[in-house]
Amino acid sequence: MNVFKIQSFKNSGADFVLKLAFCFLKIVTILLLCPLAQASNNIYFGGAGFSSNNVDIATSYPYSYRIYGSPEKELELNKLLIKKLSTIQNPDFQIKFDLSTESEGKVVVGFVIDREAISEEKIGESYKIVIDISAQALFFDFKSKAVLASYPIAVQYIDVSPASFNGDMKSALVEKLFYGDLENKIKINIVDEFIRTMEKVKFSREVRQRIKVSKVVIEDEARTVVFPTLSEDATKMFVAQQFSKFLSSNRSIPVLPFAAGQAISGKMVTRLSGTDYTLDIPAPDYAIELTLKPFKKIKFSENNIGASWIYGAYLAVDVIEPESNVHFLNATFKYGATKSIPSSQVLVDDRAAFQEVLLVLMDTVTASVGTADEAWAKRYAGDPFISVQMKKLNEVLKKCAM
Amino acid sequence: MRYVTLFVVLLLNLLFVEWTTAGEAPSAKGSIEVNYTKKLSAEDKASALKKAKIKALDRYFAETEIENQDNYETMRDSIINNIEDYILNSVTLVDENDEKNKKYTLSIRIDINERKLNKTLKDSSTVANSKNTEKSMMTFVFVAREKSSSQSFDDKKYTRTDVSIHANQSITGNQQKTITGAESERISKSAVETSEKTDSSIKQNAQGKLDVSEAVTTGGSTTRKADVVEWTVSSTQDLDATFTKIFTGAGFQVYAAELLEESTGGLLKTSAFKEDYRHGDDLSPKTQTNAVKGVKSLNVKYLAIGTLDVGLSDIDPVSGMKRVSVKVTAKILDVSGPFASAVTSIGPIQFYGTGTESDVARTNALKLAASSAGTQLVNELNAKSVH
Repeated sequence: MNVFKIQSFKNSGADFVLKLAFCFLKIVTILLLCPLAQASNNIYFGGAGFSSNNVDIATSYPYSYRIYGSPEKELELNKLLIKKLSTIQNPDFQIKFDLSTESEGKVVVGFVIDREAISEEKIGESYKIVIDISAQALFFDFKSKAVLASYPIAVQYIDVSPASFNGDMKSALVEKLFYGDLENKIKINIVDEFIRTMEKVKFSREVRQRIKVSKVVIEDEARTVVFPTLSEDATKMFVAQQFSKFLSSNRSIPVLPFAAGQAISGKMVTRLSGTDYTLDIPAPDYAIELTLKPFKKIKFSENNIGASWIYGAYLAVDVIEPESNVHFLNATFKYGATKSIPSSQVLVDDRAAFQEVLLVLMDTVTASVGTADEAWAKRYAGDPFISVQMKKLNEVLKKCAM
Repeated sequence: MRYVTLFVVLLLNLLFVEWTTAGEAPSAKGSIEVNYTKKLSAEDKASALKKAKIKALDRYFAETEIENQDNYETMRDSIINNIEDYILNSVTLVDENDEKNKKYTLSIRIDINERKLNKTLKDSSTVANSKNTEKSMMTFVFVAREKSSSQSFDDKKYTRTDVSIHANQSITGNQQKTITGAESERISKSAVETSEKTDSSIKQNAQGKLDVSEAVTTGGSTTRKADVVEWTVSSTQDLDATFTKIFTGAGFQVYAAELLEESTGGLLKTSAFKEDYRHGDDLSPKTQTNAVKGVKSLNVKYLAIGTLDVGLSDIDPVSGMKRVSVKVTAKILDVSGPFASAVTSIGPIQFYGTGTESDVARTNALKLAASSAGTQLVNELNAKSVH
């Protein structure tokens, strides 16, 4: 109908006006789309840095800070990151390195270290060290300072030595967890994990739903048994970050960062390449509440050679839409792994076994959201009906994908 | 074909506008539960969606300043009748139909076109709807200051002790009872000290029984004297620009006080304001009376005055960065009548600015305080239909 009306003016003066309007729109569109074509797919690298919410960086990240806390070391790390980022091919965006002035719609990605935990304990005559480094590929709007997406990454290294690990040894191990190990003893490093993440992540500024771990409850027995060296907040951070990491990587979705007390402030302070950014973390559309329940160790069988034990982890997962208080998933998942212990072994590192089953449980649950059937639900949640809830959660996670 | 191209061009233009604004827009959530009788209809769902959008918008305003809420209340019907004009995007978070209980739950998040919404509220205000000739003239004097010295006084204490002695005796023979007492008072600049010493002794040379009881009552008072504070008054050029922008944007004809000084024959003197505020929180009657007379003589209807007190730098507990507070107190006087009367006042309100250095935090705090206080004053004026 509209077309007919327009055509009826074909030979009149109105046609000239229409032509003029058409030309004007064309010019405007070309002018507008030129910068859009350049800008829409560009992500600007903001450098490496630390998440520094209410913390002193040198105290909270002592070894990481030693490795790249000084301007010279930071420059060295940034050069390495730029070199590696220059080679990646991500169909969703191009990475630019000339971040300078603020402008509308400019998106920045930072390599943000948000956790460094080193624990050492004596087991028998040996010393065991566990090093955890967590980071994020953090996307934010350079002008509004709003967090747009976060892809969590984490690496863990466990080693045993007959002698205690001194400061230099710890520093050397952390350095290898950053830059890689020439002897190839340590297979992974956080820099390469970041690069791998940047290669495969999806990013767009289209409106989509946001999800995050908003609350973690650690039941006392679970903490004292498995995380005796960590504070309560540090344990919560570990659980939230690990779950976020598995959820993000298994579903290819961004997960907003977790921080103790963050629900109140909604802020995240990040230092990238020497510049402090106070970033706004938007409220999540879907909140995940995790409760870590006490671990269990049950003897499965025993003979002259040794005993077989089942190590069990239990994690309650509650996914809510806070506004309507609708629960999409509310279940306690369990996972058990068998470990054979020879009779000759006097000391057993139960903590490592418990941590391992917990991580496998998180990986299994987040990876099975789209495929869990009744048998799976019965096995891992003790209730076949949970498969229906997993399907609902699957729909939610689809909405969170970029 | 040409019209298809035209359509595509238009669509691309629209897309571009949406894309650039998406990152900046504030958002709000709304949730609704609908009970239906037979079957959930398309009308039920459409109605629920509109109600959820209204709820989200109501919630957005519920979390803004009270004056903004008042302005929204005035315009609410008109805004919700055209609610789509103020929403950039709507995202469905929950869309659940409980057929068994005949209950439909919908939860959404909307991205709000804040600029358009603010424009509507501003355009609806009395001042915006006044003709240029009806728009009132306004001038203002805002002073930013920091404590330069503070003299504190110790508490002045007065303590009094009363002692009474009661004795019951039943003796035979001789006895001698001596009670000696001394009371002294020492007064110094900062304190008054009173002391009393009582000695009692009883000598007796007889057989018998003596019961002595002593009651002590203490009391007194403490006098406190307020600190004497001196302020350093700093330049307000940046703040003036902020206030001018906000008041002009609200439709007032705004004139810088410095430019009016000469025309008022020196009655309005910003230096007199600064001198008064250097010593305390109040203007001297002379400064105030002269300013009102001067402003009134130029037919300027409103005089806005206020202070922005910069606090000491500390550490922000959330970010760990340097933090500076600014306390704002302001009022607007209508000087058109026989006597000046306050049409609105705000504060004291505390604002905080953060930064890597104290100077940055201070600047951020002052900028935030000036823009927030200015906006709040304008919202109050709009709510009271002052123009």
